[in-house]
Amino acid sequence: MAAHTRDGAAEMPSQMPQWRKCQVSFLLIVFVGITAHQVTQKRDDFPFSRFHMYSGRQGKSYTRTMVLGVGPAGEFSFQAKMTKPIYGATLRWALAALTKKPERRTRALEILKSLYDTRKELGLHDGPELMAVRLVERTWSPIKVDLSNRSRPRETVRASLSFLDQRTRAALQAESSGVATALDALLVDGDVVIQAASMTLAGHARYVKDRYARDGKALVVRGTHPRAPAREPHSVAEMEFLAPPGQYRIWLRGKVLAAKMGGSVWLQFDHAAGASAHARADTPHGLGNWGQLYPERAFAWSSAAPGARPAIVKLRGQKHRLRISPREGEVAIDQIWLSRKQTEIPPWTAPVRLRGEEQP
Amino acid sequence: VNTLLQWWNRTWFTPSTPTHLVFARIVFYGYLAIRATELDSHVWAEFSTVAWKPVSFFHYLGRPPSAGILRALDAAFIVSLWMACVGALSRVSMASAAVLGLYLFGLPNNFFKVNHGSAAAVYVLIFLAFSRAGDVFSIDAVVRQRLGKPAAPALSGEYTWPIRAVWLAIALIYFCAGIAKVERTGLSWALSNNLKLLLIRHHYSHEPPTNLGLFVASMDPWPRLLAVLSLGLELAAPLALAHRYLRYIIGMGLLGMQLSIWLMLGVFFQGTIVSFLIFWAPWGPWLEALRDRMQRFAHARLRVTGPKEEYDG
Repeated sequence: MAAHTRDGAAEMPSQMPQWRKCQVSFLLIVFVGITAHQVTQKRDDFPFSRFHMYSGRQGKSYTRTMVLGVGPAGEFSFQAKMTKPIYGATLRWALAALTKKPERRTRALEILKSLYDTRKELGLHDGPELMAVRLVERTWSPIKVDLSNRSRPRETVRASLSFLDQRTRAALQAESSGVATALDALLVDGDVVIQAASMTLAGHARYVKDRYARDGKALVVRGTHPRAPAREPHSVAEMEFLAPPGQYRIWLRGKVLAAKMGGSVWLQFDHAAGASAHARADTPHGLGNWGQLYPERAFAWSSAAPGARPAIVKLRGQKHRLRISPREGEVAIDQIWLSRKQTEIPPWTAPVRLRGEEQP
Repeated sequence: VNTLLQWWNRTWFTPSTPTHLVFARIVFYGYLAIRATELDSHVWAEFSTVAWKPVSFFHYLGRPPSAGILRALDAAFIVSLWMACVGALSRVSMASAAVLGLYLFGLPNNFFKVNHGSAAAVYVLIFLAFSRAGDVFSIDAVVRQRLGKPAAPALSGEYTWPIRAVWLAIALIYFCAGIAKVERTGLSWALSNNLKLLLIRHHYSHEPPTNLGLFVASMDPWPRLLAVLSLGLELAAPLALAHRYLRYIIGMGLLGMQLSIWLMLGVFFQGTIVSFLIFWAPWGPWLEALRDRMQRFAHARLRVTGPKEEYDG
């Protein structure tokens, strides 16, 4: 029944009825009860929790899995605005949890790429073109209050995935079908470009005519030596070349002709050529692996694998020796590009030429 | 038993004016409505096909519906938040905001990482859904007046318990956090160099807005003292419900701690801080004092300007 105020207007009763108090009391007791249950049973049932963040013991070293984007200028950290709502700890934890499910992780990264591109188109961020994503585990040991080792973590790449934009995919498929026109070589400066067509062959290694190769022919090797380069492989190509001493990133323009897996080769330089029976630590799966991303029978650039961090070679002296031998599948190689400047996978598929070289 | 019941009644149902609750309704729902535009829940529909680890009630609900339905739920959530903010069909809009908020804020927690940042906001949504926060200063009140229905009472326990329930929720969040530290690491969480290492570590992984954390970490024994203070505040949080002065002292301490977490660790618990600021601070007395002062000022002006206006020469 309505009460009345001093000015005579009707007013709802100010006293709460007992049933209402019981209702509210029940709500409060249930709330406290569920929270107590979370604490005693160590549960985390959203929205309830025992709120145990930062409650653990901290170590003197610190390991963190990072999800890094790869743009034309190199790696960059994802900002929340780039991939919202999948970002931060949720993104890291989800990708890390999918380590043993590579197909699902690949799909997760594709969704991430699509989200990144959509938000970029909407003007929600101005990040670079996303060429690849890497899951990198960084360890700092020990952590220091002056942060002196912050930029020098020990890094392990747990996974990487490269992306093909629709235009490149279409161009590669056209080349794969043989209906594309050959691409002009792009000019590069101050690097070493080796034509595979000028190597010395042994065993089953051979040259095949290929109008998409820069010199009109490509080196083809075939074999299966998955763990390490064979001392005496069935097919091998060798050559000597001149290059100033220094550190170079290795890029191969090649393609898979037939392979169940990615299609890859071993590269050995100088003293390692022909002598080593061990895979290099940064290329345990050889180089190339084009089949992981590109269609068969279409030339594209790759280092260890599309999207992977590039393999690096340190050359001493001027005169060098290079040996290419098969790792897995049958692959064709057009060029070996040793670059000091190209830190990430080239965003094009055309061959390269040095300044002063003539177009064939 | 009688004493206990009296204490319970006094604690939760002491009549008060609706000022604080109405202020909280407008600011909280308005804030959430703006924040909810960034939910983009439809993204989870596709992502759940590759990564899905359900928590809590999502075990029973299963994978999220299609992207289209999630977009519709986001829109419904925003509409219900704005309706609750202006007090339109407030009982229905606050209830739907609570249900949708529980689902949509909960959804991102099913992808291997449970985030705790939105828990406080969800608690507030649930408590307000059961409250009479739309009684005054709302579209409902205007409609009720037009229809000649009784006005809301000037004082009621209905305007007290929701505010205090949020105090309880916030106090419990901190208390649980304190208990978890003692239970997992023991008192050495505070007495060892644990906080020092945490402060340093966050400068490797986050981008705190200041270098205050590193400064504190380099000044032994300050990290330990800070850790003891933090743990003490967390464990003492429920005492804030016992007395007004304790509420102010512990409240200021907890708010300071929360802001320090942002400044030193670079982690900003936005939902918790906003809920804290809206509900913990005594907005009711402040706003009423402001209103009284403005009324006095208006009366004073009327007294001064009144005779001049009546003078006709």
